[in-house]
Amino acid sequence: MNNLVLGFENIVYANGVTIALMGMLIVFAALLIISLFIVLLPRVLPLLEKIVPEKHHQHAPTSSTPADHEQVLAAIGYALFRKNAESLPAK
Amino acid sequence: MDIFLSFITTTAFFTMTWANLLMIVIGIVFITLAIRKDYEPLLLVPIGFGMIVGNIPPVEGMALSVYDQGSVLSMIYYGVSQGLFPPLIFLGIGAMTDFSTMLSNPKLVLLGAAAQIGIFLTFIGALYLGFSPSEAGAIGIIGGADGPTAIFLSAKLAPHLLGSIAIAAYSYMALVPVIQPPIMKLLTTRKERLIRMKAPRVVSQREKIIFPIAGFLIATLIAPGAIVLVGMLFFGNLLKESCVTERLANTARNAMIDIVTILLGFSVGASTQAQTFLTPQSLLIFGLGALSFAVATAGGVLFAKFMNLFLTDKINPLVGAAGVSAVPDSARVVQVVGQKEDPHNFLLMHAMAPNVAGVLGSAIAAGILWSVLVL
Repeated sequence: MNNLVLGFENIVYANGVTIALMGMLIVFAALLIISLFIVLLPRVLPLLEKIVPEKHHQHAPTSSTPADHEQVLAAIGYALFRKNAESLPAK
Repeated sequence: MDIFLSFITTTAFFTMTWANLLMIVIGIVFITLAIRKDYEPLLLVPIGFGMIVGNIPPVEGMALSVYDQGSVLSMIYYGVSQGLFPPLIFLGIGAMTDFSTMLSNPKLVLLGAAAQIGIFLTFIGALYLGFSPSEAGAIGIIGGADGPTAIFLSAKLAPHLLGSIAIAAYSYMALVPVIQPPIMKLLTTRKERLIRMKAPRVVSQREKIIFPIAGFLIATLIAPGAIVLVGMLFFGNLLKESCVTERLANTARNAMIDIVTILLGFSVGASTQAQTFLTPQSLLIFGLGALSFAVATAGGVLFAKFMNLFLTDKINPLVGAAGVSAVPDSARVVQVVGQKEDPHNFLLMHAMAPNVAGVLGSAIAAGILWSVLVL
């Protein structure tokens, strides 16, 4: 560190403004191209689908099925019922 | 008796300075904030405790501290100083990130780019204050609001400032709910804060699989310096979205990221020995860090307002504040601020798009600064 010598000349000597502008421009360009790619992707997918049709088999369990949800809901309901029943005043 | 007296002189009571005590108090404040206020507890607790550990003065001749060669702490710190931990954290983040909201509304990606203005304006500010270009680049990245990226870049460009930069970055990330709302309110009208955005479209699994590969290629062909961070981010995401590597994705987003976070947080905290940390430079870095966070937030909000000039489906400008890559805290802040105006307006989903784009943007910015300033 240059012993905290303040001054605009530090920015000029280090090409600070150029680096900052170029950096900002590149970040924008990269994200803009990614954004354009995302816009185009759904339009390209039908073409891809014709060449490589999507297979609908699952390799690994990824998400729960509706049947799983029902079982989980039933378990939660039962647990809540038990909890409430225990907290009820005894008759 | 002599042995006892000589032992007494080696105790920390004799070598402790007021600066060490101050750092220990700061460590306790971090832990208190994490527990009482719930500010980034997964980071502030390890960092806070690390600060306490790092400020017990080491005994001469014993390899104890982070900076003593061969000490256990120095071995853990190796992952920080060599930039090993941040990419591993990015792998975990990738494995837990859902890019659906970004894929369903690609224009919001630009907000993630706009918020990176904080990085580059802070870079100029740091140069003005007399920091060298490499130091200024490492300080500027605090504006990305991304701890791992800040650590990665400062390890490469200004290792001597790593402790201050890491603590500043994580402190401000923890303070996102405090720093951002006033700026968001100041720069928007009530009418703008009430804007409701269109529900995002459903994204197909194929899109989600293609995106990490294409996104990586685009980002790194433009900014090759971002290969490590962006590569790990998208690799983690591919593990998640491919549906065939669920076990790997699970490990990356749970066990692995937790282990790395513990080691990173603790060793960064332990690196803040008062003798190396309490310097005027650290104070300046903290000041510049706060400024960069504010500028980044303002950049996102103002760019959203600018985009609204041309859009028929208006963007709620609050969403722009999520362009800083503090995931998911800044998106949560957007949701909270938005719901204060309209309790039935759900902005969280929309805010996640610029939020993850911000992660990408700050990693690309880090890659650019690294390429330009290391030469």
